[in-house]
Amino acid sequence: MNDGEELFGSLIRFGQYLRTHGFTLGPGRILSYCRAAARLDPTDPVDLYWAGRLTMVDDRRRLADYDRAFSEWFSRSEQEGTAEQGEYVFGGWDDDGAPMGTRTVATTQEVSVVDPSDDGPGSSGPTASEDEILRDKRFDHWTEDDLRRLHRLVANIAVNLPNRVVRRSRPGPSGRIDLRRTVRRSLRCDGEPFHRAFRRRRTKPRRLVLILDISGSMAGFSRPLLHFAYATHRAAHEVEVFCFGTRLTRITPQLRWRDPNRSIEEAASRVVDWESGTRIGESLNHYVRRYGPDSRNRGSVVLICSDGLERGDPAALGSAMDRLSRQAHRVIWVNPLMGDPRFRPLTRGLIASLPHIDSMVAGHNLAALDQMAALLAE
Amino acid sequence: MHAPDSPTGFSSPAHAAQLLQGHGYLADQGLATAIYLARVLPQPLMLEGEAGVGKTEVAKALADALAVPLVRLQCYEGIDASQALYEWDYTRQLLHLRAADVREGSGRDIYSEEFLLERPLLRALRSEGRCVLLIDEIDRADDEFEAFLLEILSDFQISIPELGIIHSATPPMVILTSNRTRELHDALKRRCLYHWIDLPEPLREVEIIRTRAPEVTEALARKVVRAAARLRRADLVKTPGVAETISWSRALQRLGTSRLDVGMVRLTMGAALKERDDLETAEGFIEELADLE
Ligand SMILES: Nc1ncnc2c1ncn2[C@@H]1O[C@H](COP(=O)(O)OP(=O)(O)O)[C@@H](O)[C@H]1O
Ligand SMILES: [Mg+2]
Repeated sequence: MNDGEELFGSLIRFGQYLRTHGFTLGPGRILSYCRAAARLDPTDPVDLYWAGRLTMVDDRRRLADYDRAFSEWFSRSEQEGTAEQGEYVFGGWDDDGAPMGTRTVATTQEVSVVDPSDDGPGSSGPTASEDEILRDKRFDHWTEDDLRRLHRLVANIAVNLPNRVVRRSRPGPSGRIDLRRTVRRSLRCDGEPFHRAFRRRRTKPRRLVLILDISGSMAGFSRPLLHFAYATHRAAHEVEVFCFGTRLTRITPQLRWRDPNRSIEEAASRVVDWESGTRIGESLNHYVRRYGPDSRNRGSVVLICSDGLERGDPAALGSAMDRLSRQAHRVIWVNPLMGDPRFRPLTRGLIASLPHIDSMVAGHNLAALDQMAALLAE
Repeated sequence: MHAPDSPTGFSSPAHAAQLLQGHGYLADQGLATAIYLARVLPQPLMLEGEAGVGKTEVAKALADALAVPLVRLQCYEGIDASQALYEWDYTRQLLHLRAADVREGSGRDIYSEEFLLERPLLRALRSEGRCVLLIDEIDRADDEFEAFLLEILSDFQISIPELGIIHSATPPMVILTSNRTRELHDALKRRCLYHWIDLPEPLREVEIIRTRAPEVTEALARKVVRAAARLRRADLVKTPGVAETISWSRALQRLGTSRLDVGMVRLTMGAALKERDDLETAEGFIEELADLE
């Protein structure tokens, strides 16, 4: 890899980092950013700051978010030393910014698939209590009796959500570099060396958003997740819940006071037109348009629970997932079909979604839900 | 292709700033970088900011600096494609038809170049890149017009049914401005570089005043900028922009004063505040505007 490609790679990584801060950036914008940086001096942080701001921010109200993300990125790569050294090393760009190609954007995203057989049957000993037996029982095989214990068991799952930086922050003597103020200062005293302004940041846990497929056979698997949402909400985390079959329905309000069993029943009754099949793409598209841009949902951890058997247009699903991945901090797909070791994500809808998912997990029994919960904290 | 004598533009943001300064405009690093990139990438530049921060002026200075004409499309409520692009000169067409009636057989086509009224966008498309196209205050136009502009800015091509397709191989430099009275379409913004122009830092504003009104002393300009900063913190209907600090400084200089006492402030404040209500509001803290040196 030559310096040019390395620089290009690090520019793209910064673009992707901005996405996790809720910036909606298509490949076109990131390409613009690379072309702009190539025309400036990428060894100069002030030039990099402007290249990114001019090409990737188009709303005055997002300037503070950009500044924060930039200074985080800048100080992080400084701390990590060699790891991100490529960031500010100028490479061999030609006048037209030749090493362009949007392909790198997609391939740098890794999809980890957690193997459900990791912690599979047989790990519990002969003295296992009834609860322990239930741990490995597929949710759709649970009896009425079993289901009565569902809520208590799910509520025992420990949840930790990663932090996000919140808006309010105070100027302080140390902490992250505040680039906007730094740039301002250096502009004010034309030519004087770069003084660094610091700013302390406050953090709070990210919101958890669940989007549950409750059509036909999926309802059996979505129900435990709904209990999970309910318990997570009770543990004072911020949670939003949506259900879909053919249409998306927000059921967060029901979570506030109702019995979780009843709320899923109620939501299910609002899903009309069972025969026409699941419309994941359309439902997710509704989410990314109507709810995703809300600042409270931006940068959240999104759990989608569905078997991915799309009856609609797989391309629509792909583009909704693309948008979702840019709004969210992480996207985790819970797919109970993965409980079957022979499972391969071969439906066209799932293949179109894969590049935009951080992890796909089974979540088909309690043990698998535990594994899923552990992923949330990342 | 550029004609051999056409200015190639800027070699760096600093060079852009220097050329603009030569034409009376002081750009900070952000704006200079924006202008430079808009020129070399090339990509339209969307400038947003409060009224009076120098959005329109920078396009004028830019055209001067590049030694090309400024083609300005001022947007307003209800503006439509024909007012922006071209119109047929119906009066002349009618006159011509009548005259042709008399002298039978003179078959000049009334849908020819001769009867075409060029409006700013067509003029810019036909300039082969040799102009700065300023699309001013686009937030005043409606959605539909915005969509139409997006199309033009995408292909730099229009089709006039009677004359055929007009295409500009070299796009002109395009500056769009908005006072942010409404949200613009994402699609339009995606096409552009975006720069938010803040009011200048105090020292820079002093320099701007001195550039625009060289007769004003530095000491006086500083006093005015300090008073303006106080006004901008107040809750006014119309916050004074740079144009206002310039004319306030001029007014004071003309009165031959270097002192800014309460009496002087009261006498000249109208140069900075245009609204009756604002004058009343400012009266409430007028001592803070005066200079106590
Ligand atoms: N950076 C600057 N350099 C020189 N003059 C400036 C600058 N900014 C503003 N001005 C002055 O302020 C006046 C108002 O600017 P204008 O471009 O009309 O504001 P806007 O279009 O943003 O409302 C201009 O006529 C110009 O004299
Ligand atoms: Mg203007």
